[in-house]
Amino acid sequence: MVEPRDHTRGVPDPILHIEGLSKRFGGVRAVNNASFAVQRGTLTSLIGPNGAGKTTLFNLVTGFDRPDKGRVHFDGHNITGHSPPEIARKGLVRTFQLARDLSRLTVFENLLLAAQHQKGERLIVALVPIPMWRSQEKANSERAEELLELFRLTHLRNERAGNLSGGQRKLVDLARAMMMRPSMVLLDEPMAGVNPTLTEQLLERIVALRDEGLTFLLVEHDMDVVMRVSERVIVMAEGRVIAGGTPSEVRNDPAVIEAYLGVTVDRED
Amino acid sequence: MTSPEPVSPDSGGPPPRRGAASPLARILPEVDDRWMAHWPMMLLGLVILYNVLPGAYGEYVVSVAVLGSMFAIGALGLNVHYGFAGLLNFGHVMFLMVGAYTTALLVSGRGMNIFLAMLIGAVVASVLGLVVGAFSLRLRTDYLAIVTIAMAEMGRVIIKNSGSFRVDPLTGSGKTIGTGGVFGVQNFSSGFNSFLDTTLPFVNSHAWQLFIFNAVVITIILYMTWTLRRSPWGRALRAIREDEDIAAALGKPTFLLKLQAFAVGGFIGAFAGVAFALNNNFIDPDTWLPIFTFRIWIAMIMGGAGTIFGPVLGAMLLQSIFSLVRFLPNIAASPLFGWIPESLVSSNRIFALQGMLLGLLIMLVVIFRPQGVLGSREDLILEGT
Ligand SMILES: Nc1ncnc2c1ncn2[C@@H]1O[C@H](COP(=O)(O)OP(=O)(O)OP(=O)(O)O)[C@@H](O)[C@H]1O
Ligand SMILES: [Mg+2]
Repeated sequence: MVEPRDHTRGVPDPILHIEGLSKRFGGVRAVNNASFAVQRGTLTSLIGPNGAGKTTLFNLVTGFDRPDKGRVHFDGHNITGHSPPEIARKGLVRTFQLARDLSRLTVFENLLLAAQHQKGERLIVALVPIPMWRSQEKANSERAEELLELFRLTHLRNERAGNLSGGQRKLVDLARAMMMRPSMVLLDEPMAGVNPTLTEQLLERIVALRDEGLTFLLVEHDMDVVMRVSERVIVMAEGRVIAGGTPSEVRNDPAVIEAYLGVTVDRED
Repeated sequence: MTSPEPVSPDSGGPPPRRGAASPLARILPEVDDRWMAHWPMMLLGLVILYNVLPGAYGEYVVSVAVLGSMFAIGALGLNVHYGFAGLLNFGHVMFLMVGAYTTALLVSGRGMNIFLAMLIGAVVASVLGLVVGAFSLRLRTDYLAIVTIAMAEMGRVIIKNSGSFRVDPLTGSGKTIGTGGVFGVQNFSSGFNSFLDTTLPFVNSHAWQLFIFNAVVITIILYMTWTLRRSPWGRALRAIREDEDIAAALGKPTFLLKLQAFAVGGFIGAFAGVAFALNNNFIDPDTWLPIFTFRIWIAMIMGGAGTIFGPVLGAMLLQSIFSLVRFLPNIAASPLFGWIPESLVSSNRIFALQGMLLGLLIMLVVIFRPQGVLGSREDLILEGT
């Protein structure tokens, strides 16, 4: 199954499709008429200078901000304007740029919380003195233990998330996202603050999950990483999508070089 | 990657917590179960105190415990709001008021069975919670505080001015069941009192009978809140309290969960109002002033918000301190304290003194033990990190 893929040639099958998405904050056009599609089962990177609008775009897609204009389609549904929990339950899961953990919950509880369709989260079930949710909780616990192992977090299992380092929190975020069994994950700089060895392991993990069919949209500033792991790269600058294509196409795009270096490159067309 | 090996819960890392070795503890989330020891200890302490103190004093201590237990029920309800879900409810007294009025009116006006009336009172209070919550729980937490305090005051003023309506929407028969307006409602406890006399014939003190009833209610609520707290529902609420955005990103229906917590806390709070009403055999609108809510808040904070038993402990402590103030005139009259001006501690100043004491207590708790007696220091430090 670990065949290299080339989705640029296969039949297009977009899992996420955004059209003309725009968002202003006062005078700032944080996202300006952005359109692109992410193909199912790919690892696509979203790059751009600081302030390009990447995080805002994530917020618009996942319901944390309302777009002024435009539409978001996920897995055949129009999810524009849906609430964050609705979107998450559809299988479109995000992590946050600044790792945000539930400080007073343990790492293990952070993971358990993320399991979906929990019977015990219904008040009626929770009120029953005999925990009818126990068998489900047990199954979820097993999966959580597996993920802790996978992300090298087992030794922190019972630690409160608030006591972790920034890099450790990033790992918890990612493990927690996986606990939700998503079909697509938006990762906002998941490797920021994580040491190089661990970054490599994280990347391996992400690529392996991609090979199992999970779709990723990755915001990342490390160009080496982006060029190495992504099948497609989307470039934003000042709120606009200025380029999109394979890593090599994007690398040689004059508009991209201009956006990154701030110099004008002579265009041939 | 090969499939991970089974992991022992104790491999490295911080030391396992209390009970982490048992297989159950690996499945059930870690929840404060100290209440199972603290609550019987407190009851035993009261029995001992009653027996060692001379007659009238023992009786007085029990009457203090009756009041304290009433505040404890209120604080247990508020704990579901604030301790579990982080909801700043500054109008908690409205749930007590609605519970008390519904019960009192159903009993005095329609002759309903007291326990059925109580249950209806609690259901009405939780429905009120759903209605108030529906339009205020989407607001930022500080707005919620303002809306709840305003709702409670509005309700009180409406009842105060509603005595003349006296209509019975249920039958239309013309039989009137008004709220009594400013005059209040009275004489609805006789059925309850005779129930106590028949079920507790060996207890010949009315204060003890009331306390035993309240203690049963508290035990049920403790068990209920503990069950909720350790359930995934309780965990989701804790997550909301930490960071609502994260909970939403994890697919939790945050609004619905907060609404449910609001209704559950209101349901519990109603019983505090009922206990208060049955204790006094009289209620009027001015029973439910904002200061009532604040006393419940202080009780909960003092004992430890978010713990299971903290609200009960805090309420009992607060009521004990309050009741001691009553003895100030006697103390000042003794030769040892002759230097205290009598005018300062005269009995008509007691209310003012209690108010000052309330302020002092808040300051002491905030400075020396902001997490409350039973709260965890670590929880406090980690808040908002
Ligand atoms: N809530 C907000 N209110 C006002 N302005 C905002 C808000 N959120 C984002 N912006 C502005 O929108 C623009 C895009 O910000 P955004 O955080 O999306 O950039 P980014 O591409 O994620 O940058 P970085 O790589 O630094 O994370 C910035 O100019 C920012 O100041
Ligand atoms: Mg960003």
